[in-house]
Amino acid sequence: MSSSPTRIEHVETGKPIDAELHDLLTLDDVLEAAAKWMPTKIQIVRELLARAVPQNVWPQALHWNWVKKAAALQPYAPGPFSPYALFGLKAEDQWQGLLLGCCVGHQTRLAPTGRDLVYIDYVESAPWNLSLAAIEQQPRFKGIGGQLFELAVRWSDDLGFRGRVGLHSLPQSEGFYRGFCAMEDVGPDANYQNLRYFELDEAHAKMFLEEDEHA
Amino acid sequence: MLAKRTMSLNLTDAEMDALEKLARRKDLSKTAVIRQALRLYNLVDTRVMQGEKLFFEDELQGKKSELMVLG
Repeated sequence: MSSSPTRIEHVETGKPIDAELHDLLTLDDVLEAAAKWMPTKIQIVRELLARAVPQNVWPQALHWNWVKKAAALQPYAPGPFSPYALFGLKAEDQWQGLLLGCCVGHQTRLAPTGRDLVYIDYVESAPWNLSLAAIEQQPRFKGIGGQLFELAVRWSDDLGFRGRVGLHSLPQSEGFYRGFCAMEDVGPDANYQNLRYFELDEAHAKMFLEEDEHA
Repeated sequence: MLAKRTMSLNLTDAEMDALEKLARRKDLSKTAVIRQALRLYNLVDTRVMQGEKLFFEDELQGKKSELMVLG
């Protein structure tokens, strides 16, 4: 596994803390994250139920199951030569976020169409990093999704795709992809549960790649 | 991200022509096309080795044809 140092914000103190970005996670790493995340997810569901919070405002990724994803990925053995890549951010010896991307079989929908891009299948922060006003939970750390997204942009650039990235967004995350990620909203996709499809074109990808070079 | 090694590659005119056309159409370098082709070949091979089949489907015309892949 290859890693690089980074920093994320500890929300309670407002101070940055040391973290590591990893770009070659194994399925074991994913299972380790799932095992650590599940008790917190269950606790969040308990709190939401106890406070009778309507399910339409629950975190939409709460039901995501990385154990199932790891099992489905087993034949493709994520690694340097796989169509799939698993990225993660670790701090305080725990996975704070995971991203699963794919570099085969996905093409640009923005003009010029038909060019290869990195498709982000899933990106999720650890459940303790969710901001949940309904149960008065503030995130432990901030800035995880953005750093994992940047890693996907860098992977796309490394593959020769000039940073092009695409994904389908859960409704609760659309603002993040339009705003921080500067992706274009291509609109709802009738072939993908009507989720909106977002794409990062080369011009906007450059902002991430140049920022990285100057960092 | 990862260390890379260099090799020379001998291609026929037709193969080089196909590679250059793909690179232009996909806006990729020739190296990137070959790397993607290898990834795709590896993906197809993995699934075929598991006993799966590869199909092309034309939803509009209702056509589905199996692509024969040498095992």
